[in-house]
Amino acid sequence: MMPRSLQLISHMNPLTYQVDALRIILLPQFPANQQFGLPMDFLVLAGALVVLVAISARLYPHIAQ
Amino acid sequence: MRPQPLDVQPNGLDKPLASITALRALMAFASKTLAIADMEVRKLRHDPTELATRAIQPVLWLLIFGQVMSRGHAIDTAGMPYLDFLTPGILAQSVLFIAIFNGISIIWERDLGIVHKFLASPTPRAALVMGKALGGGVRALVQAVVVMALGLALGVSVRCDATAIVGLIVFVVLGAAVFSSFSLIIACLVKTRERFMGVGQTASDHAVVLRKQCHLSDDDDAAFSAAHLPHEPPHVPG
Repeated sequence: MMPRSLQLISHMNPLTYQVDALRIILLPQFPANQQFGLPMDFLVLAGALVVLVAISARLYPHIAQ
Repeated sequence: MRPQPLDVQPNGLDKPLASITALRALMAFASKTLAIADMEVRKLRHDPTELATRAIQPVLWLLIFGQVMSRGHAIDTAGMPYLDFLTPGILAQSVLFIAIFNGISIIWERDLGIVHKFLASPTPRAALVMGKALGGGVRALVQAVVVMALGLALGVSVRCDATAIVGLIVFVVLGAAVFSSFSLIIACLVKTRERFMGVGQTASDHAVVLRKQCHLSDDDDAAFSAAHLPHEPPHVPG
């Protein structure tokens, strides 16, 4: 239904996993057509957090230069 | 002079277990992170205006967009009212917006000389970043409460039991932390407020537009699958 390129980009966007997780948690009827499942959402978001914290910790002194 | 006891024995017998050392390091890291996060929360208590102004946008989306789309019955989503389907999306969007502008605070801190003081301290850089990320998480939680309250007032049937609340808190804080760290990266690279506002706005708009594009396609998928299932057909106004 969605062009393949858009689908790839959306799979790299953490917001996609965030929205999917929130829908699964909040809507009682949603889990039937969930996109990734709660464990996958959590893993992707946690992994993204680790990577981004590592990069920003590396870059932090930049702001003072 | 009295003989002093040695701090370190020559054959290393007094070294604690590696796991205990690791645990102590982790707890030290956690306490430093919480100290930074506490600083962020205090700033918020001083001036909570930003929370109110940033809450307007999701409220408007829910009220206007949600009402219009659900009246128009343009998109049907597997038997759920459109407003129900929209509310978690609006929540995620408000978390994104609150977190992506969180990074501008370090530009202010650089101008005030606070960043230099923190960098000179023995605090690990990752603790500084995680503290800011957790501060962003707290702000996002406030926004989430506003959006949920409005959703419930509009009659959206969201789950309110304890597991749902815990899951909501976990994912809101996690998502806000991800986008806060991202915004810190942007702030460290662009260094001025003007450039930061431009880049931050673009990044969040791209993320949201992309999400909406996929969301509309999801609705097509959902409506398609709902039409093929042997239960209630899509509601047709008439």
